Amino acid sequence: MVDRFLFSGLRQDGRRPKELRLIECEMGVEPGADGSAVWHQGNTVVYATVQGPKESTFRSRNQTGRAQISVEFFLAPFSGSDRRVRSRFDRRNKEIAQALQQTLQTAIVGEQFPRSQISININVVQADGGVRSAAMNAATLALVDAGIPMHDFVACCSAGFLQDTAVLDPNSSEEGAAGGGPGGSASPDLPVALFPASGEISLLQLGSQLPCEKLADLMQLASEGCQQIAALMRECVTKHVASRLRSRETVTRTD
Amino acid sequence: MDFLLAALKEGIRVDGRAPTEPRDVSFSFPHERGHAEVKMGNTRVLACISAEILAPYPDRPNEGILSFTTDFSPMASPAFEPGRSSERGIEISRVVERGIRETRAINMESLCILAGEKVWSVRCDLHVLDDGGNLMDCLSLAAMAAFLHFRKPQLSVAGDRLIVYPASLKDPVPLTIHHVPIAVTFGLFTASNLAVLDPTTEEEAHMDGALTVTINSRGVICAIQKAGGAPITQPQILALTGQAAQRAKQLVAILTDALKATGGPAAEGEPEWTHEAGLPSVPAMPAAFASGPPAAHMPALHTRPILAAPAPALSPPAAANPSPSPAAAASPAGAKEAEGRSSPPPTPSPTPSPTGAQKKKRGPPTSLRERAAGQK
Repeated sequence: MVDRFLFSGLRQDGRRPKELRLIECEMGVEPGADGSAVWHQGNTVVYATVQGPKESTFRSRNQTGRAQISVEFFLAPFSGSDRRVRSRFDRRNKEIAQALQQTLQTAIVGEQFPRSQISININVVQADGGVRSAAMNAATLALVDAGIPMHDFVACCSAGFLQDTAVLDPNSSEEGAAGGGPGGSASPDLPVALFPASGEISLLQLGSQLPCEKLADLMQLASEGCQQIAALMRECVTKHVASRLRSRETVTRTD
Repeated sequence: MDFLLAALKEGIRVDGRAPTEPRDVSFSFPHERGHAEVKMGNTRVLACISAEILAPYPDRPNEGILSFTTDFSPMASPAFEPGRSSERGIEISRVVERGIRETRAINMESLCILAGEKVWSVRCDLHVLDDGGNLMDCLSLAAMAAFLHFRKPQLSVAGDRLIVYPASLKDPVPLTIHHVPIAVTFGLFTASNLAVLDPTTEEEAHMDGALTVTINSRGVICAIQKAGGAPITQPQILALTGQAAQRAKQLVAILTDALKATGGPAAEGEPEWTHEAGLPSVPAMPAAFASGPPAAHMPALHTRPILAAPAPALSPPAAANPSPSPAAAASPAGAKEAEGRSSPPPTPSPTPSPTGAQKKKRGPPTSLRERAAGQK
């Protein structure tokens, strides 16, 4: 068990407290899907694919005037530090899937596709902390790739505390660090998903102790991280669209 | 539906409450120690705590085990399907569990009896009796009320033996509880830009999102759950957290009063073990811990209290104390046999049963009562 996470102001992986891990993202990685994206954040790698809008699988489930999002979240057995097969009904996975579903549902313009379904599949290939956030970001890019109209991006990032210092985007060893709570409760990890244009928070989850007055700082830090991520997403989308246009241009030229 | 939303735009809730006004909360501790029933308006839930002695998880040898089950029976609401928990059910039970377990509200080290060998496994069974809205708050409150009300028997370790004292010999002791996390839920309505405290089922059906802040009376946030839904700004979240802190303080005060009113004197006295008279007693833990069975065979305490016999003189005569044969309790097979028995044997005798005797030869004499029987 590691008990020190900050060494002269630097974290174990050499980052400063308010620094994100290296993020690389790409859209259109799965030709078979209507939309897809891969999100690398440090050692965390998440693939997301989108199918739809299509007819609802269970027609009775969606007779509303809006498109219904369904999210399946898979954590690969080899994704963690030790191999572990999780059942389809794993409660943690179900909970993450539900949080993603409820957040993305508010982001899409569902009124355009009444009585239809948009399925999102999320595959976590490497889990090294911030899985929830990476999955959310990958899903957003995949939705954009599929051409689903959205009110805004959904950018997600988490923040935590290490030795009384607020840190951005903790990795798995930092997530598992012992906090200062009674009985050695885990250090707080606060994922925040927001709409970058308005800065309004849609998803906020916390599972360990945090004094009331520190919430504001941590939420602010995570929000700043979200804004950085949103900028990266915009850049990724611009690049992707540009390359698509270029490839189309070459096709028309050969014609 | 339109009526509800239109009324909210004017800041009025259909049940006449102000937006930040909670429903009345009442507690009752109906059956025995560790059972708590909480009523919040029309919502009614029952929490039952039970404890048994098990081997710890290998990766946490000196911590007890805490497990939660939440039962959403179709009795409570037509929306619940029997047999499987809905996505909402999973979310609710996860938040309740996270607020208590991850924040270490209950001292897990204090549940350790012998590191790596025996620990207390405390179960919290939550039953939704009636869903009138805001199950999250009601369930977490009921769970904490039940944990606070629960008493576990005292133990002593003497050499290679573990003695579980019945309530008549030594007063059962409460769990070590660090703090009392309380969930406070707000229903969010975008159109009226309102956050209503303690939403009812009607309000839950029409709200655009919900924010649950689990917070203790010291103002330390234990969990936050806002899984999607209507987006809100940071200042709004902070304001709601402040409101939640106040509400949590109120609820802890109500809970403390309720516990004092019903549980105070009984806390020192005997717990009301309702089944004590009719059940077979099990002398003590099996002999050597190392050679003892790793898995559970001690019955759950709330249904089968364990009567120990710390000294032969204290153990009642065999006729008055219908116990399974001591050797039966000393071996795993015997223990299973004892558990399988629904009623005390008609003519209990201290003579070990044949299977028990065979097992007995493998180990040293186990309980004092058995030794006493041998001396006769």
